Amino acid sequence: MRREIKQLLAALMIMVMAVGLSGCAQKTAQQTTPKLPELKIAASQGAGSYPLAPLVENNSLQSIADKTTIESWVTSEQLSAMVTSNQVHFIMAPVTNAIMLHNKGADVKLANVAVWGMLYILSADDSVTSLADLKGKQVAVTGGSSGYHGTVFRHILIKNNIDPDKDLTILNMDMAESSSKLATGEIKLALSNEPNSSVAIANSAKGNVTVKRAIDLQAEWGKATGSSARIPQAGLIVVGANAKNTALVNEVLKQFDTNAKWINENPAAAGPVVEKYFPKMRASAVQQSLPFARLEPVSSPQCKEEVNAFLAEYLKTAPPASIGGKMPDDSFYYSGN
Amino acid sequence: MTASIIQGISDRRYYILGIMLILAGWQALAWASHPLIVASPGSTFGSIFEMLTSGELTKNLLITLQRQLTGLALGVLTGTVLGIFGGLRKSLDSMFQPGINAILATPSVIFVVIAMVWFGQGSTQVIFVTALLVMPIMYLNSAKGIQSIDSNLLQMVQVYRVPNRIKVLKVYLPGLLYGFMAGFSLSVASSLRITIMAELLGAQNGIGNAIFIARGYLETSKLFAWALLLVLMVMLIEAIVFNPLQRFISRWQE
Repeated sequence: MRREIKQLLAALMIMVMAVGLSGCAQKTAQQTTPKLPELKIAASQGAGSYPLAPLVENNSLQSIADKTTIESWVTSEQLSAMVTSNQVHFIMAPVTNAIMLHNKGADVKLANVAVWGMLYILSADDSVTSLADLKGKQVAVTGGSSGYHGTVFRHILIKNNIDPDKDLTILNMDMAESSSKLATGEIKLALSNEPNSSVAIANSAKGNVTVKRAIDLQAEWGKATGSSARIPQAGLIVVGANAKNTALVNEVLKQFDTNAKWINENPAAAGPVVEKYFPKMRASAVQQSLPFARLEPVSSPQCKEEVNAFLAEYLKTAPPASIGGKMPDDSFYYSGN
Repeated sequence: MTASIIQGISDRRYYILGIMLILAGWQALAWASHPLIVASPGSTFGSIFEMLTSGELTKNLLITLQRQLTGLALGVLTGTVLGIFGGLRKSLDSMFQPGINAILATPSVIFVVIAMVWFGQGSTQVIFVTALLVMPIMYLNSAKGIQSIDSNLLQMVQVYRVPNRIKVLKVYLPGLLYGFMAGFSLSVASSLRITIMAELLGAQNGIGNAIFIARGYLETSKLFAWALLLVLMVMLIEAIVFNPLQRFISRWQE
């Protein structure tokens, strides 16, 4: 019996060491090459991903990579897995997810903030025009009270002396579901981003339901906090050792800006290109969403102060866990050197 | 299933060795991967301690337990009552079968989604789904318990004109209890799983909601902490409720 246990423990130790060593080997094998055969950018639904479509279509990054590909992510687990296993070079993600990953020890840096707020309260109820009108009502919010949309919304409500837990009901419902329920009349109010709002409005019109962007949460944020009407919502994250390759990151940022500018100036032409790479974001919805998407990319060194000021205000009501426990340190922001 | 684990400790040292093997394998996995993917045993126990001191654990545990026990009680009651009828009358059993089979064959998440439309988000939905999914387990087991009573015994009871009271107490009840205990053991563990799944999708509090938030906030150690706590909870329920009950019944049956 004793001997059996000893043998087992010895075998176990060997297993542990083998697994540990192979882990180390993987980590050191990473190195930067002058020109990449393939640059991978992970993206999810949302206006922040628009510029990636023409960027791949025109092979804008040909000076640093033979080709650029887009991988899609949906859940935060996929995001974690992509980052910890270095599957991609860049990720377009909500700013809070980026901070969470950084604060949880993942090697990520914020390269830019691409979208400065695209949150609106959609309403099928004409009587709702202000935050006070939401009292006693139900509002569908993706991620419920604990997601980024929910925590921003709650902050604005609290600043307006509306108790988010007592004065209204926040329903946890993803945006695809709330969009279809607005159209069928099952719900009257939903918090939505772009291009989801444009999709919801178009879908509802088909069913003879008029849905409007009734409340601009960016404007409300500005009013309630005395800052500008902007919310750092989504940005480009650079993964792992790629942040040290400044030539790579700077070129990606430059091309991202150029393509974002093209999108904003050519909404009609942009729609079909975006739909080609993100089939769920329909061309017409993309086109209609642009006036509300605030797609104005600002690189990390320039937006750092604004993001930190936003977070300091945000944390007055939001749980620290929603950004991974604390304010991000300076190493979170890509500095370019 | 867990009942047999606890009961069947023939050699305590091997049991402890088993636990140590799990812990060692877990630690090895944690070393080999990122803390975002696998939380180490240390950080998991740290999270349990943290949730214990902040009151988060007790608060959510009580909410979930209340829902689970209410749903379990309702499901056990309806399932057993229907099961007695089904066990006694073959015709009723045939009539109940399609409904029971339909519930068992449907993925449980569908009931949660439907219940959310009917009752909205909150306790009612969770209790409804728990009761609904416990019911067929109890039905099948208690009906089978009665149906498996020895037909010779039933004939003998009839031939000797045994009084009804004795007939129920000494023939039907032991048969029913045999099936009931098998079903109840299964129901206790699965009702907790069902309750948490229903909370995960449609409740603003409770363990399921805590897991939803931990997932959204990338708090892997908290996720692991809840998983571990749930295993311990089922083992605890087995140890303090189920096993004494079964011992009591088996003594009484002899």
